[in-house]
Amino acid sequence: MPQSQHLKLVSSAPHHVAISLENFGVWFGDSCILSGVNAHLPKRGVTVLVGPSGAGKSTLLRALNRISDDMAGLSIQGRAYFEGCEIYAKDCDVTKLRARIGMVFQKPCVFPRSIAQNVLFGLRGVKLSQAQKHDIVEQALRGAALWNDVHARLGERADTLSMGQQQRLCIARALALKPDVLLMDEPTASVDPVSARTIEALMRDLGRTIPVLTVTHNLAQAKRIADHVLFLCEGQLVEAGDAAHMFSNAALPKTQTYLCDEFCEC
Amino acid sequence: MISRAAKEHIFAAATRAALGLSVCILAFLLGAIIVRGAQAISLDFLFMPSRDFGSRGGISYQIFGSLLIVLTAGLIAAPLALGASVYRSEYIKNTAAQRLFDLALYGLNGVPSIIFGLFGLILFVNIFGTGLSWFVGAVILAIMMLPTACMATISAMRGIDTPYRENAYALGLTREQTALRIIIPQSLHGLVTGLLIGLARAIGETAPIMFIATAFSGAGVPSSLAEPVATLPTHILALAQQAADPAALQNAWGASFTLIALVAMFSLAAFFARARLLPLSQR
Ligand SMILES: Nc1ncnc2c1ncn2[C@@H]1O[C@H](COP(=O)(O)OP(=O)(O)OP(=O)(O)O)[C@@H](O)[C@H]1O
Ligand SMILES: [Mg+2]
Repeated sequence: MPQSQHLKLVSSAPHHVAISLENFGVWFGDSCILSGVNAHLPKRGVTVLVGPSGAGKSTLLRALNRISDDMAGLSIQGRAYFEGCEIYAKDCDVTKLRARIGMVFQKPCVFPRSIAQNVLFGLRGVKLSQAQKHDIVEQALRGAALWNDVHARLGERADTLSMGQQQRLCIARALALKPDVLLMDEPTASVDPVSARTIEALMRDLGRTIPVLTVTHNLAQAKRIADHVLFLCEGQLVEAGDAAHMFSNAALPKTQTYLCDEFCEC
Repeated sequence: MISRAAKEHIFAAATRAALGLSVCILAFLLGAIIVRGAQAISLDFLFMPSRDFGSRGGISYQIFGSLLIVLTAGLIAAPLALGASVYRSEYIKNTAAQRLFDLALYGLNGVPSIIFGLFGLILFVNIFGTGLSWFVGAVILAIMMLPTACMATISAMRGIDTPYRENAYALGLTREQTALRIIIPQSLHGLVTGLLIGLARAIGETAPIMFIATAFSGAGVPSSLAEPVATLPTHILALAQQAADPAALQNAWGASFTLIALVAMFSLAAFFARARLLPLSQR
């Protein structure tokens, strides 16, 4: 049956969806980290992924751009689609996929190069004039609210920056590639409150043009930035929906307790 | 029953004795060579060719030949070690395959040097018909240096945190690009240190090169790849066989001193190269 074979490769998700998960699961060896996740990441807006420590939030994010591919014992269940194409299909060009799905990790990690070189790191293969390079660096650094801090010392080594500045540099590095989706794993965790607010504003801004999927443990922050909320617990997607709905009248009591910042027994 | 404190004393004393003994042996050896050798050293000795099978004249061609062979060996070993290390560290993900690779390295490292000499003699000199050739000697020494260089490079690569790789992948870099731009620059200190330690060892080797690459007398500056050279260790061997002649013995001490000085130079270079090339993040 070629017809149904074909259907399997293409997601049934509607057009306003960037990434969709169907019965998605992740295993490491014989421990199940994520299972049966069905979710959509809308094409616009900030989606906040919340859940207790160890729920599998990072695992989910890392599975979406296939960063975990090299990890020993990883196996994937179900399906994940990015703009209709299956992420874990055999013929998927992983490098291209990763370049299109930007990612900012929980801990900043800059390369031992200059600040400007860090921003341009993902563009090394692209032929660019000096002026173009400068424009990209400036735009990306402005986007990550770092330009004012570093514009006078773009040639200095990036590892001389403070933690919070390094995190914003990582964001700038991802922005320089003009990603179609941005995944952020607790981007404000190692950042001072002022920078955190800048990054929040940045996420809101970006959310107007591309989907942003971000993880946070800070529920106040989640309330400030979220258009949509995914609540993950013990490897299961408990509930998902619009922010307004999730924060005021979530369907499940478990979600209500967690999102009201109370002790969660899940 | 011996008390715990007494046990500790005995243990400490034993370790101290072991250290003291090794230092004494080293000091005696170096002392003898320095005292005897320094008497033989002069500018003429270092920069004149030898005469009368080495009992007269200097060791200029021997120094030249030794440096030529080991530096060429280093140049051959460097890309091989780098390639093998990148492959082991970034491409082999299967633990069984990694173990096999490491086992092969340890095995290669454990092969006695005379076996390499024999291998070179049979494969190159006899089967390929190269005749005595300094270049074949360099190839054999390169193979001998490979495990040391690889192990040092691989261990430097292991020291690079996974997040560096993941961040590079997340920016759409391929495995090759990640290796070229992140892994290799950050593990150069391992490669250079490993190579220099390998060089320091190789320059003193006699067995692997004496059948295939060296001539005991009459060799000068080679005009092609397929000519023998004179080297310090084989020269020392030849002089030691004429030990009854005091002049030859004197020159043997001088040549030994020079050889040890070269080894010390490579070791020092390894030390400084490591300090200079170690990435800022690991200093
Ligand atoms: N490589 C691995 N092998 C086995 N188990 C793993 C591996 N990586 C993560 N896990 C497990 O998967 C579970 C989810 O981890 P994950 O890092 O996704 O949690 P998280 O929701 O991001 O937590 P946090 O909020 O603390 O960052 C944890 O129980 C963790 O121990
Ligand atoms: Mg996490």
